[in-house]
Amino acid sequence: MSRTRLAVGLSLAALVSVPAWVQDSFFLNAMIHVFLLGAAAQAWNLVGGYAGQISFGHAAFFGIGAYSAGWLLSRGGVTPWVGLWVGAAVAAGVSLLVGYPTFSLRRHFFALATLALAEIARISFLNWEAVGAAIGLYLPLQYRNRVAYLMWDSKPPYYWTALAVFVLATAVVWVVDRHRAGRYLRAVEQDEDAAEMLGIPTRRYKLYAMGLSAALTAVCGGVYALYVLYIDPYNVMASRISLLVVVIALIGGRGTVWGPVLGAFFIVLLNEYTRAWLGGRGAGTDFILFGLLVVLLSLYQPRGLVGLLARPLRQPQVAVAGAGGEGEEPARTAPEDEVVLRVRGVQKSFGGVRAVRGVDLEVRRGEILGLVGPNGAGKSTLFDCLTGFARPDGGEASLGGARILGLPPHRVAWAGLGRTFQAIRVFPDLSVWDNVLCGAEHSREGLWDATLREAPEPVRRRGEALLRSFGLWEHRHRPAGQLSYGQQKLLSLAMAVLRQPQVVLLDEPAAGVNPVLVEEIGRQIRALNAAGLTFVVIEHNMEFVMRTCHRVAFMAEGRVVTVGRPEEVQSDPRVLELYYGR
Amino acid sequence: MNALLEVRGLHAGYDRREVLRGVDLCVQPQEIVVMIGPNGAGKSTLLRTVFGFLRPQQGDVLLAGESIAGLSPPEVLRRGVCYVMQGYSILPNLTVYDNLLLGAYVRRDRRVREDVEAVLERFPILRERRREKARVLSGGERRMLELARVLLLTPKLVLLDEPTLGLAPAVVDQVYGMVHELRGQGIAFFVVEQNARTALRNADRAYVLEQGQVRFEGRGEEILQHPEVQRAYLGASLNLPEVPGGTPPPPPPG
Amino acid sequence: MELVWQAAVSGVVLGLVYALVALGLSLIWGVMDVVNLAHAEYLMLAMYATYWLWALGKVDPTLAVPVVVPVFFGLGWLTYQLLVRRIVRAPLAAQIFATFGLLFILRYGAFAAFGPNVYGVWRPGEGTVAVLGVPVATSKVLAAAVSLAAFGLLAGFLRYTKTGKALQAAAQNRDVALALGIPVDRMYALSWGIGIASVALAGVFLIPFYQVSPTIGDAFLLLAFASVVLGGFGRVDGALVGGLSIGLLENLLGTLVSPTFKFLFVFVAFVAMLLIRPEGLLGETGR
Repeated sequence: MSRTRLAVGLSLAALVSVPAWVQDSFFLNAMIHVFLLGAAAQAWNLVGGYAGQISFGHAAFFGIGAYSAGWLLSRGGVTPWVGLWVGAAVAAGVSLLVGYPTFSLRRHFFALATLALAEIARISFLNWEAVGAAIGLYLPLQYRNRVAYLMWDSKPPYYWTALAVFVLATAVVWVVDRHRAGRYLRAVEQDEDAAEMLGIPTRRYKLYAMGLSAALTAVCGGVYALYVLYIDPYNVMASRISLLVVVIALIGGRGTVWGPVLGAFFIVLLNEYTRAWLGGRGAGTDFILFGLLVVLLSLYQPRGLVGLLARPLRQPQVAVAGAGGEGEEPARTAPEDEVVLRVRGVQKSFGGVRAVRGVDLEVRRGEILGLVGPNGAGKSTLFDCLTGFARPDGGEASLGGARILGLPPHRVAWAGLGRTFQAIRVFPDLSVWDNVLCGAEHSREGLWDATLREAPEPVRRRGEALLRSFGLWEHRHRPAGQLSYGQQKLLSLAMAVLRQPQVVLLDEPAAGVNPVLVEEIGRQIRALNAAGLTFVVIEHNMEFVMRTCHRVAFMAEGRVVTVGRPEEVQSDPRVLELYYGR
Repeated sequence: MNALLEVRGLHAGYDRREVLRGVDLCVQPQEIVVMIGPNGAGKSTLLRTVFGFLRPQQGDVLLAGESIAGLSPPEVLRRGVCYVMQGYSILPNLTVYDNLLLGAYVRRDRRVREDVEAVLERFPILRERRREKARVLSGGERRMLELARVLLLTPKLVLLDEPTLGLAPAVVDQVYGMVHELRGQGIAFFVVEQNARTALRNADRAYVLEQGQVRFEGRGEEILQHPEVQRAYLGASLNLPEVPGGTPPPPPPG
Repeated sequence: MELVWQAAVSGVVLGLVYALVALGLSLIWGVMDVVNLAHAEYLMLAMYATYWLWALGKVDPTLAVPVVVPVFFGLGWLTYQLLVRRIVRAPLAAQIFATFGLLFILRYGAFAAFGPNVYGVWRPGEGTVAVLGVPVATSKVLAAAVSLAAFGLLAGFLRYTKTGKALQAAAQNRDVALALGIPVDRMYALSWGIGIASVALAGVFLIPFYQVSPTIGDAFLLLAFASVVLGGFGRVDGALVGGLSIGLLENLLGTLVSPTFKFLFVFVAFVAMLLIRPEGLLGETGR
């Protein structure tokens, strides 16, 4: 860790000292562009890299920043120290307004919407007389050479101002990346539904990333305006700025702290110098190369230059873990009588098919309730209805007295319901440790807190304990995508139970793994149950159900046919009939 | 061995998930073989692997003695195997007529349209609705269409995935009626069924699949009483009287 | 009122041209759920090709069709084989970025080859044709007529030929199509060929009245997407309805409200459609 800090510190010192020994105006100009475009790329990185919302319209925020600072200065003599803030605030506000309705769009549509919205902004400014319309704004020159106005005669002070902005943007991304907010954003990017089910308020985090991104981009635009002293829509709001920022972040490596830094140096310097050397026709040749790199990277190395340089350790897949768990079987607790999850008359149809036709179910605190039945009985659909992934057509459900039907998944999670999915949903590019910590309690977690601080001590201790008991502790720094299937199953279980929900719904926890691991998973569930957790388990592996569950509910054709102890259900003639058919 | 279809020691799954854990079975020419078993056992995965949608992780699939493991679905089709998928296997936004026509896609001869007309003659319901989009057909009518489509080719083997799911009993009988008729014309069937009783009533032989392995092989509805079969569906075996007829699976390979 | 009628008629003519530009985009999207961000760059390249044939070879654009269209069919096919087939099953982000990179390559390739200048084909003595009583430039009417013909041809191909039906099958359900022996991969390549060929056709008939430069892709991409989204993607008639809607919207609102903001209205409508009814006017919910 400290080696990186040393490297960063030295590089920074070197960069700061550059104007002292290089006077070449062209070079300084190029560097200023590196810093400002790099900062803008960092800002984009927050929303397009971390949050995964790909925007092709960031030039709009750049322009808003430029126009705000520039207009306030030229019309009102307002110092940019205020003007930049105003620009940031306006940009953030616009981004939230625009983001709120559009974040629910599928990613393709979101990207298209950003394209369109940026164009709308550009056309509007092009025709807005108050800011100069097509003619643009000229910044008054009488304010030069005053720190209060951030305008100078020579390049070096601009160089340092731009460098400061670059450092600021990178610092912001660095802080976000290191703490919980970055972890949650990346989780949202990789699997939004899984993040929701863990209680992460995905829309809130996306808006957060968007607002921050827009504000930073606006600051870049404002400083750029102060440098070029002339603002018009072509200069500060053209689509090429949007696209360039995306290319820088992509090639450098989106979703990483240093990606946009590397990308900025590589791309902007290359671009400035090819333009100088080749001029005219040659201009644009480097962009062909960038396009090619983007294509290749999208196919083979999504983490860009950073991904190539980091050379991720390709460890061989570890064979199925025996447990790190201790051998003895904890005593089976007797479930209490209190009903913790009450389901009444839940119905759900898809098109003409009635998947769930009025399900009544009572889950008692402290029990492990099995949910079995033939294909198409409606078991997973019931889970989807309870957890907010499907909107039921009727019925009600309450958890610990609170109504949960119809709430979005993260609110259902906050109410105390946890869930795993039939297809394993872990976050493949996050480390095992990051994965499990995504399962922390989110209902009272502030955004500010998540940005600046790591998870509280008790949460981390519990995460460590869970990983240890599942035999995953020694893999905690590896990306979850490198774990074996069985290990991923255990991890998803750990994630679901970290915050100790009132009830945990498990969808086929024993499926697709070898018998040894089935044993292990069963043991872990029983151990967690002994420690106080209540489970509802969908399973087809009947031996597993018999061994693990206190009671079994048999579902067929969208209804619960019978509930009772495993032996009772097993010998119920109706069950046999429904399994074997007519 | 002159088995039409032979599956040897098949291991298959999705990504790293194991579903089939060493499956052995065979289908003879003109036989109706059924595979029953609880959910998640891997029945659909087996069909998909045989037909080429999935590449086996281990083991082999042989058609008339020739290995077809790893071939693409169109290639398996060309070797005389048809696959009717679970859910629906029709093209909802094309007409009934076009659905039939595409059933003969791999044929290059000139008699296709004649044959389509002949098939429509045999199925008055389909003939009536030939110009309508296939999505308006009811569940049973869709099955009819799928089986009618098979008639346009002359496969040696047809794979049916849960053909009676969601169908009324009368329609179920119709479907199996067609299966028997087609068998009489020389086609073998390998059917995956959830409705065990119906399947066993109509099959020559049955396999029981559970947790990715064949647990039992036998014939007739009586095998449902066998403790091994009951255990597959319900878990720990119950104390029920032994029933003759049917064999437990061979011991796992050493 | 006269003014409105004129705006409506020329809006329809314009809309048909937009529809042809959008056709390929909609087809590719519908068949394999790939959104081609580089779509308008092919339009731009086709316009350049036609221009150079005219400038250097004295070939009238209409006669350039038998050369340009097949070449671009091949280009589309090639793009599929070299790039797109690797991203058909890839995560959405990879798809977006791959076509985005392609956009860069094509656009700046044109920049490097042709420079930033603007070029146009000039036909002396071109008159107007009366369409429903409104005089419209001949080249525009020709473009609109070609568009209608192209739509008719494609619809006929899809509806009445075996390959066309197989293409529809591959689009509706990949697995079922494979189970019927349809070579889905080749169908995808075919749809790319047709898609790029159709946008090239649009380019050939566009250059007589619209000038080309390397960056015209920006505006046309948005217009094409707006058409596809408004009409309903994945359907041939969706591109037609969408294109006409955009053309009418642009011209009518431009005439009645304000000409400077005519594109603004189009894009606002586009965003509104995305939010309210992303499946478009003709589309069915739940794809």
